[in-house]
Amino acid sequence: MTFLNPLLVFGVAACTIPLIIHLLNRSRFRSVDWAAMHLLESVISTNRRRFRFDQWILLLIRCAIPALLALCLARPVLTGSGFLAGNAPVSLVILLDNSYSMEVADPAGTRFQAAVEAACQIIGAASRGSEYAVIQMGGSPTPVFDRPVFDAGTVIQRLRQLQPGYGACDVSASLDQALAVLNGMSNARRELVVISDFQPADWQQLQSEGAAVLKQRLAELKVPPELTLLPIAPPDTSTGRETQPANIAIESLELPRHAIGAGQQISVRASIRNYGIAEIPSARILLKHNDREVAVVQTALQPSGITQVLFPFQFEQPGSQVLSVEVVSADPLPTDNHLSASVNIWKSLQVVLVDGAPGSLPLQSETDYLSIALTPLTFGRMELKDLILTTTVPPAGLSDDLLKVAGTVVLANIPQLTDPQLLSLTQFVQRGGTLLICAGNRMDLNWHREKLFADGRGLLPAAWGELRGANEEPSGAVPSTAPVADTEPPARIVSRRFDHPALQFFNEPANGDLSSASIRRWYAVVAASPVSDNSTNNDKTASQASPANSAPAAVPRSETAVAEKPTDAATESVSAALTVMAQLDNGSPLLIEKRVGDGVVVQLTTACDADWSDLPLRPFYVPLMQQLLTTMAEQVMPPRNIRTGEPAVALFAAPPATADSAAGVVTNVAPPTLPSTAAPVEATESQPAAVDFLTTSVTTPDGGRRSVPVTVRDQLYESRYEATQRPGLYTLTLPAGAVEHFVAGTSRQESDLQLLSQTQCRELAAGLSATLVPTARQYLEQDALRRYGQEIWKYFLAGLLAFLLLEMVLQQKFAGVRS
Amino acid sequence: MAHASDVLSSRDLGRIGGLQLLARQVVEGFASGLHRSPHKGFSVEFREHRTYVPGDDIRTIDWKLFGKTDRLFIREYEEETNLRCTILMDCSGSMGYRGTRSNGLSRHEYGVRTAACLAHLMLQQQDSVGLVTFDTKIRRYIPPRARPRHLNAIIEELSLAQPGEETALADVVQQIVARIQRRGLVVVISDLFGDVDQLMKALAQFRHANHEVLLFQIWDPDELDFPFRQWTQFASLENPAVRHLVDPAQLRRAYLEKLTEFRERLAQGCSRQRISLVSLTTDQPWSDSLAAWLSIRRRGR
Repeated sequence: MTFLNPLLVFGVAACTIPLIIHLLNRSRFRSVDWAAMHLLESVISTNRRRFRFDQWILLLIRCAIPALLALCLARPVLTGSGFLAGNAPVSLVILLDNSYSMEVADPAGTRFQAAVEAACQIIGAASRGSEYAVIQMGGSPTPVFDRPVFDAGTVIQRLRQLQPGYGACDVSASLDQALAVLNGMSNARRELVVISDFQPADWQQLQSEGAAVLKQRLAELKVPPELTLLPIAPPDTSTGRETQPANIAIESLELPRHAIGAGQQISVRASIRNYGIAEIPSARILLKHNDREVAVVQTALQPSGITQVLFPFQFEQPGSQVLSVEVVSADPLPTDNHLSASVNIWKSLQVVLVDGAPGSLPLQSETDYLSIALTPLTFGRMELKDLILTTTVPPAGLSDDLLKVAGTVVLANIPQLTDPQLLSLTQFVQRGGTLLICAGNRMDLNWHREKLFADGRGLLPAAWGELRGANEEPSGAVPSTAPVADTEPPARIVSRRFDHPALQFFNEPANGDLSSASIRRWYAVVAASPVSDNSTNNDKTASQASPANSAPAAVPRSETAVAEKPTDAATESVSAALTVMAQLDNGSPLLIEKRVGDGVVVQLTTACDADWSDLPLRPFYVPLMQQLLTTMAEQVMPPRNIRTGEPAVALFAAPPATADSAAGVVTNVAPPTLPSTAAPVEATESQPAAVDFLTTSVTTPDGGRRSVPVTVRDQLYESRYEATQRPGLYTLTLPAGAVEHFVAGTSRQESDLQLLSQTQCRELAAGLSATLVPTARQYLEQDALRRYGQEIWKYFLAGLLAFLLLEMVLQQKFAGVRS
Repeated sequence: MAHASDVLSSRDLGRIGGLQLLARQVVEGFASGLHRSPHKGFSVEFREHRTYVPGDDIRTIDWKLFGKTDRLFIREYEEETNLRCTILMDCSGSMGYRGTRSNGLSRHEYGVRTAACLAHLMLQQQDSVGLVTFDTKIRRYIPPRARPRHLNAIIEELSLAQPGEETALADVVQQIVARIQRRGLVVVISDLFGDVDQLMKALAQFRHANHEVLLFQIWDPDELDFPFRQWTQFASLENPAVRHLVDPAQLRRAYLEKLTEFRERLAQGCSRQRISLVSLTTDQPWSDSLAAWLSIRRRGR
């Protein structure tokens, strides 16, 4: 207990006043010679003890009265634990939910405004010398200031400028960051205030086992903070859901995963979720292309369900473009009524076919089928334009110049390459090129194993193993050096659900049945790791599928990416994910994908012409190869549709200062004639040098423009914008005026406007040992209570009055003592 | 009987004289207020006629009646002094209480004045008055006489009496009953403090002896309303060893209850014994006591 007027506590000494009066009275008594002693004596003798007792009680009460009065005036305060100076500065961390669900408009304004107001109130009421940190929880946790600041005015000013509309709260990451920030703060009192609308989707993870972990972590801090939860709830939670119109959200917008060319017909699939319990009979759904309305659909939205809408669309122009879907609705949360996606429309995809077995007759050459398959329209002399442009060269023709313009290289049955060629090719892939390696009878297996595979360090995903399948050799073929196994029946592609984006097209049976093709000859492959050999040898399904298969099934057949187990340091350094995209029914892989640097290499274990299989004769050969190559090309592009918080990266080739006449094409981000590179940047990579003479700028979703530094990366320039926490459209303007659109998306789980009920909030708070306060005012009261304790002078006053009354009553009562 | 001036100082004499003067003033003022002259003497009052029998004093024959009726009648008169009054003056220590509101008089002094007034009045009426002063025993007994000079003796004795000792009324009464043979009026001037039952038992002896009893109970106002506020040490007047330091405020109500009870018991006892009880307070005028006496006399007639 402490006192606000500590000096007045000395007033307790006033309790001696009645005592002194009593003693004075007793000492300065009057003497009376009394006659009626027989009356007096009988009264005294029967009540003597009681008189003494009564006198004691009265004396105590009379002493207590001035003491109580003094205590009352001293304004005593009950402090819970220990004695803390009430106005001690505090280290305050506020976790502010700025997810887009906070944009829900209540009659008094949006929830975010209420949250900011609450935060401002809390900060404004903190004592001088307090330090503040505000962390926005939306998307990824983002501190408003780099380090805790001491100026409440600045914080409040900044808080009022904040905007909601960020992605779903990352609660655990935010709490992690908050704890880290708290640990670095200096004041003895630590406060952690979470201001959020407490949507179940965000907080459910904390309700179960997460709470205990967090509680323990809080307790383990050097100075455990006081955790307070401040839900910004709608004014009336019980009836809010019924009276408010139900929320409608566009959940997803699906575009083809492969490269899209101008003029190509694609379909855009939008999923619209109706969170309400009533059907919406006709909702208008708009498709917008670069903010221009291009299609409208009216459809009924099922209650509490997802409705899918399919828009056919055709892009006219190449380049980076934005497609958005919007549902016209007057629901409380307009933010999620539209969803955008950025699409890169290719002008053309340059493919270099390196033909290892050229032939003079039609369709005899190794790459003829492939060439036709990739450019069916050109071959058919039709008006429509192919996306892919092919160039066929012999192995010796693979030059640096050719690689500079190529996006994709296909090595079809080549015996070997020269070392400089291999080096150029490796660099090409490292930069972000795509490479398809097809098997064939002319391959120099030794060169392939030593140079191209190089124990997993090379480009080849898996070393060629045993040649299997039918024994007969097509006429005119150069005898292979590879050992040929006994005649085996032709294999077929295992037909099942394909997870790889390149083959997802064939999940639709109408688009062709891959298993109809018969593969007569193929190479088994050997992965670099012997350990994986063992593990796959024991695979029961492999032996069942192909009892005659004596060769080891070298590559793990799991669909998921399997990292090779490191056998030595060298292997480890190049270890990359191998993905088996398609498999044969005897267990051998057909398509293996490997990422090398920024690029992708795909290995086809059979020939790409009709010599070893009838693949080229099947109708699906064209879409298969098209899908394969376009998806590969799209895969290596830096992603345009990013998650919030991921960097928006644009690569471009020539600086505009040195741009020649082809600048319009060249400066386009990742133009088709240039190799595109993948976004991930290894941590080990040295810091790229900044380029001063180039400037790019970004337009953020809230309309602001910022300049983005340009760095040199390999032979390209990179413009990288990191602060994509806010969902929406980021437009990078490149030096030549070309634009690159990025759409930062976020989970739509925030669209479910259901909030944690009060009971759930209480449970959550109890699980975290946190205090739950409905308003900032209550927080301040709680805080004052924690800080100053509870003022209890009222009780003292009540006690004082009670004692006064008691004194009077007792005096009356005692005077009436019966004899 | 020694003259008063032999044993008394001039101051005492002055006090006695004052007492005499006071008694006369009070009685005369009182009597004049009654519109009835005390000087007429009712000892010559006619009572009845009786037939003459030989041996009767011929002076008592009513000759006027003989002239009218031709028969001899004796004219009989009331006895000249038929009241023998004994005043019992309590001189115990408790009579020495001197309150603040009693005009500086102690209870004893008040009682003495009351007694003097009564004596004076009765002697003026040709009644015989005696005096007994007592505490634990009889201090002095002056037998009743009707001579006017008897007043001096009574007043002298009264003025010389000083309060002291304790009270033992019961013993005293026994002795007095033995001494007063003729029936008469017994006036007790006392505070009557003590055990009520014993007191009543003692007074009953007077009643058995056919005495008429008049109790003048003298109170001090302090004893009736207990006005003390501050801490007070009460010391007994009769036994100075008995002292009590108390907070009077605490006691007051209990004391008053006790007092009421005491007075009620006293009144009940008196009415049962057909004893007249007159309460006087020391701030009252003495004439009140005379009025009470007269009313009782009239009633008794």
